[in-house]
Amino acid sequence: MTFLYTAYSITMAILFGYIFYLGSKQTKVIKEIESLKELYK
Amino acid sequence: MSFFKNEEELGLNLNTRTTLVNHIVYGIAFAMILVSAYLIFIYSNIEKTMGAVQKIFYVHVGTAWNALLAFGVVFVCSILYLATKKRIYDVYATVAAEIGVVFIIIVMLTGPIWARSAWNVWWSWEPKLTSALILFFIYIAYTMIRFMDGSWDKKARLCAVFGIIGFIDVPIVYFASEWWGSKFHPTVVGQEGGGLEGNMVFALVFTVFAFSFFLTALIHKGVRIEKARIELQHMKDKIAEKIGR
Repeated sequence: MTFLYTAYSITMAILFGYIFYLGSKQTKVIKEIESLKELYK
Repeated sequence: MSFFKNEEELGLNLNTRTTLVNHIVYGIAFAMILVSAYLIFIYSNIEKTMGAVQKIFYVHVGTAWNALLAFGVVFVCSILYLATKKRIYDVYATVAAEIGVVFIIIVMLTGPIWARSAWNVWWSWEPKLTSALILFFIYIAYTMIRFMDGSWDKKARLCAVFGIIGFIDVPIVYFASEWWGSKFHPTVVGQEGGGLEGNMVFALVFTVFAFSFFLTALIHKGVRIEKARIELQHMKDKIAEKIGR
């Protein structure tokens, strides 16, 4: 069972880690776009 | 206020925020992953020879199938990009390759864990595993091209050619067991199969679909972010042009 739990945990950690990576990338880009738009209104 | 004129030409949608559709798609994807966890851990039977560790199979096959699917998207979008020169196809290929690499990393990690517990070996240089490892390196190289210096269209052209040639390895990985035989990858589903009971097949099919839905959700989100990143770059270029004048 330990091997099964390890494999499943690794899978979920990578998938959810990737979602968090995408989320932080999106936030960073949106913040930069909005600050530029604000600056050049 | 729009900073660049050719957004229609690029086929870009400047709405970068997460929408209700995004939330619904993610909600369904998460729900499907939860149901697949129930099917894997509780619903499906425990295999007699290997025991509970055989259940790694569902995650391993589910992610492997979707890695190949993602590389298929890269292949199709690469052809479309070379044929039409529309940047949107390059955006889809970029995102699909990155997600495909994430899935293949999972495959390369769960495979040895399963092999170690079931057959007492971490790795074997049999055709299926070797071709899968080559596939992993091909798409790592593809992703690295994206970080090279140079204009986007040159990189897009290079990546499109790489994406088409690299895809040759996908059917090799898929059919390797059939063509050359395999100790660790017997045929269990299909006409020659028969190693899986009904509830195991259901758990496998559902898990593959759950990961496919997850893949779709990730591609959707990744494309939106990539579009936003391109918009940002255009804005910066426009501003630099104005300041320079």
